[in-house]
Amino acid sequence: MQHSVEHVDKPSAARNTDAGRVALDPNELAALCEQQIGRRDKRFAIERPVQLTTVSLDGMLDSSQRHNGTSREISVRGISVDVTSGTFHASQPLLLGMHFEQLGIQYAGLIVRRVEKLEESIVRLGADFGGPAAEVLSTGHLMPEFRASQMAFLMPQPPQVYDNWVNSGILQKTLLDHVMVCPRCAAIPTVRNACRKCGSGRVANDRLIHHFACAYVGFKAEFETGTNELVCPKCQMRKLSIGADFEYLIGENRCRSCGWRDSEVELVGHCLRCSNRFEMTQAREQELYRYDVSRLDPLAVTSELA
Amino acid sequence: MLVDWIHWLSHLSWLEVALLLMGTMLVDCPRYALARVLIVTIDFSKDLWSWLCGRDGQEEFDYCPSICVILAGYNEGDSVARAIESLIGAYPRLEIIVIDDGSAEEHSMVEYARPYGKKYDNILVLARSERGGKSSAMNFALPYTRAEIVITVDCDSSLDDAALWECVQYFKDPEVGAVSATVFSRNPYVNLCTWMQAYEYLHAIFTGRMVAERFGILGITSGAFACLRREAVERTLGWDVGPGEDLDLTMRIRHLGYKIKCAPYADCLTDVPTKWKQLWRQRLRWEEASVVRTHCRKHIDMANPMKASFRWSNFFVSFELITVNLVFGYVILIYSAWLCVNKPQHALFVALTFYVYTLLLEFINVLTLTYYSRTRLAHLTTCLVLPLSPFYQLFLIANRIVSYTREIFWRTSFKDNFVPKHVRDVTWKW
Repeated sequence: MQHSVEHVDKPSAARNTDAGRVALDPNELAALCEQQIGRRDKRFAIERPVQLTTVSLDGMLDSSQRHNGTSREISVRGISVDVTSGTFHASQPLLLGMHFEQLGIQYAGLIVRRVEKLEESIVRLGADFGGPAAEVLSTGHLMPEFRASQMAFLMPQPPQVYDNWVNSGILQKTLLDHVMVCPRCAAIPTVRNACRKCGSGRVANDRLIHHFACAYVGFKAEFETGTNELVCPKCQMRKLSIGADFEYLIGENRCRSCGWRDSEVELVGHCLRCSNRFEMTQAREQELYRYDVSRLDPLAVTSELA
Repeated sequence: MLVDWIHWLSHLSWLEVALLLMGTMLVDCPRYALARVLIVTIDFSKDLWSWLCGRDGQEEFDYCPSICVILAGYNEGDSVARAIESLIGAYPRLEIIVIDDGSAEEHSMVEYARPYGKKYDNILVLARSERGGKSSAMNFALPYTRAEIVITVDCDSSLDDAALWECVQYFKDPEVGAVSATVFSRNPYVNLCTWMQAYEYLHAIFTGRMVAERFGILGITSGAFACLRREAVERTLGWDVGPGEDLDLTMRIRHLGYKIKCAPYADCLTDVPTKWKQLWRQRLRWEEASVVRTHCRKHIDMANPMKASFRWSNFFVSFELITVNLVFGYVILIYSAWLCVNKPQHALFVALTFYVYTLLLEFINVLTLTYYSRTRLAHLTTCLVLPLSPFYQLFLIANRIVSYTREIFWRTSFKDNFVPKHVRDVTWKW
């Protein structure tokens, strides 16, 4: 078996450096681009301990099907691995864990393309990066996503998949936020100060005036005389100025829908999906988690090897 | 010394003794002794007649107007829940309005009262963000009640089971505008200071107000537990800025022509100061706002016979307090000073004479109390400090002289922290 290891020549662009500016010849630039594009298909020898775990199509890991091996070659698109035990077949999804001295284990999803038996106990797998494991590991699948169509924060995978991966030590779970959601359908509600009795948001406050000099407290209308000035109905003091002579007090709340009167309003939620009205004390608290993984980046690995 | 005193006293003629005791003979004797003896005699005769006729003296509570209890306070978060608990179920047509007068967050009354407001439809909890004073806090409740009777209760006070029923019975008479309940000490035997106050409350409030009411000259309802006809309160347009707002409102209700009644068996327990220094300060505040500010300045027109609203009973309310507390206090001070300077050899004997005389008056008081009390043993236990009561009265007289002097010359009641600064700076000065 031939291991073709090609090294990309250092670009000669640096020769044209002038006072910090890089001026590239168009032909040279075109050649450089070609080299970069061409490298995508080029394989680089890499010998590192790896771990392969079988992944079902629904994204669940089968920890009983875990095999150790050694990587042989890597490209941007795929990897070849020698495994000493196990049964593999084409199109089988796997999770690859590759050991690095400095970085620890980095993970990537694989789809087996080729199974080749080298010796009695060694099987060489040729696999492409991708598959259900790669999907789980992709950035968009590790953060809760707000879906406007459902008015809810959702994760792309079922919760048991994340639990499975967390328990296997691949994902790290971090609490992002607590959000109050509808107790019926877990969608996001709008919240308002509303009537305790009927939940209506059509609630108005009484506005009262406290006149400091005589301690009189009455509705604002009692102080209004038809002119612009306020007059105390108790001591007849005129031209009252706010702050110096009086203060406003917030009195009882009155519901314009059901006529209920109370000093307190209730925080009431209205579900944006199912239109359920509920006291916010009954709202369900949804915990939003972010998942972190040390992801294998084939491009970075091949760049380093190049 | 006792023998010397008896010798000294025996050498005095009756005229000299009368002259010596003239002040007290003129004021305290009829006020204390004769009034009590007269009322006890009348009531005893009535009771005896009822007993002879075989009538049961117990009256039933048959009047049940709607009432609104106002619990207004500042930083009373710890006690408001207990106060609400004691009221729930105590009366059928009851509503409770809790006013948090801008309490600090750690003592917030709203926090403790809110769960009750949510649970019971007849409990309303109102709050304001900044302290505005007790008077305006209570006025804040008035627009929200249509109850016939408004009752103010301090958050740190607790009422007897039947106290609300006892009070409201007097409002059957439409001329009654306010009813003074009886305030007792909740902590009478903590130390001598609390014991003396418990004794004082028994005589000044329990029997003192009962007697004053019988003569039609009751002029105060304690803010700790006062029952007021809402219509009367609304006609006065509510409480004025304190301190002394309870006394002031009662006088204004009297001024409107309403009667003030006393409910001796409507018991309310309240904590009294446990240190002499605290007591001294509390009484300074009470006294500063009472006689000089309220009777001598604000309501002096009640003593003007030329006014259309003049009533002799109102005149005597003010006259009694001004004479006994203010004039008599200064007379004692001047007389004591004169005695010490001019007749120092007689000073001790005169003091001893006054001591014995005061004890005699107090003894009549105790007998009156014994006749009317429903818990005689407990009340008589409190009266065991009787021999010390003349000294306690001296303490109170000294306190009055200081507070009246401060109020007359410096109007210190308008500088009291009881009212927040932004209010007391602009309030009407009497």
